[in-house]
Amino acid sequence: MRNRFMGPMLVVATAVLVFSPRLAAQGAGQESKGMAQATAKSAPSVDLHDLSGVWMGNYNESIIPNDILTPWGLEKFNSQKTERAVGNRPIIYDGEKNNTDPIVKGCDPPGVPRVYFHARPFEIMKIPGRFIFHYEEYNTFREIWTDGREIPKDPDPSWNGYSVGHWQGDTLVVDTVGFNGKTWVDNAGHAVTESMHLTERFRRIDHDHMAIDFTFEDPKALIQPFTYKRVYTLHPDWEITEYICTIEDKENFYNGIMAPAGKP
Amino acid sequence: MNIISKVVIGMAVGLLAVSVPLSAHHGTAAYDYSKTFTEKATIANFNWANPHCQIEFDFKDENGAAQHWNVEAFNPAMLRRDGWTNGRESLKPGDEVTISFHPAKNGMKVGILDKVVLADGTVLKQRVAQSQGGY
Repeated sequence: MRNRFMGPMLVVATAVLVFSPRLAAQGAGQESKGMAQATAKSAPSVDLHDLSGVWMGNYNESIIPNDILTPWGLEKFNSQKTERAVGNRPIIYDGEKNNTDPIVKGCDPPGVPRVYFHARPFEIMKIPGRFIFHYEEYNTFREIWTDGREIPKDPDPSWNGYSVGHWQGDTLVVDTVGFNGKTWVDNAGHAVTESMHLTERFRRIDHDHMAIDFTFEDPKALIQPFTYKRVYTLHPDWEITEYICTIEDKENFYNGIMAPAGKP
Repeated sequence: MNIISKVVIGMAVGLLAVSVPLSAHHGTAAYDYSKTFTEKATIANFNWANPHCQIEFDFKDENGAAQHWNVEAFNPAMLRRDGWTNGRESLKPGDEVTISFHPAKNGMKVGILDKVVLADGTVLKQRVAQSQGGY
């Protein structure tokens, strides 16, 4: 049995690996590193501290593995009702009545870090003393202070948190606290709590690619810190445009598509 | 089955689970991606709006019965980047098109867009979203 099935199974596994967006992104990062080394001599050098531009990554469903959730975190995760097919949780295809996904239910902003795991672009701008990030999804913006201030001990809770950053070599290290606990880490429904400390490490790999390593520390939801790595692609020709979700828009979409599609 | 077989199958199943097209705004578990319907249809309404565009259209099925469907597409910002450069004028009521879509699993006449081919042969797809691995 092993000999008969291993070949096809390996083919399937390989094909899936090739088409998996998450692994493709990581593969792209490795490839980019090689490209950067190969082209370093001939191409004009990239200012690795210049992160400005419009960037976009892949869509990802689930970032946090369930085996590092605290009992509270697991219970919270299992209690979510969403039409996203994750694990053994029942699928609820219901735009407003029972759906607990904040961005679907009430057009809530995805917030940091969830906003990074949608295939939607964001623009990084640098002005003295801070970076400004403009995320196209629901047009939210965020400031990352680089003027040497310390991260506040107890900032007012917010969707994107309060962020300070500093350079470690060619890596911009950004610490964020002060989340309001109303959004999710990922699209699968893993909780962001008010005790989360997020560390993002931004590193420009070459002209077209930027790696971001996300480290999640959250004693309420996670038994240990967890780091997730991915690569974002520069889109020099793109403009960030208006993408606002209103209750009226949401109702229109719910009535037209989601409600009939979700009828049992 | 030995442990390696189980691991390989597990990897394949796990990765397949994250490889299907998915929406950023909402999940797409309600759609049957194994089916693609292609119909010569007349556009009834085109709603160029967030969080997702909606395309309503009419056609006659193989029995001659009138069918009215509504399918969702990506949002205006992403569709423009995918080549829908005419924006809200990309589709107009009365336009004769060939439209391909994946239907809802429950048999209701709603679905999710694959592509539209206009009368002049122009193909409107959602290329950026697909190549990015997310719908």
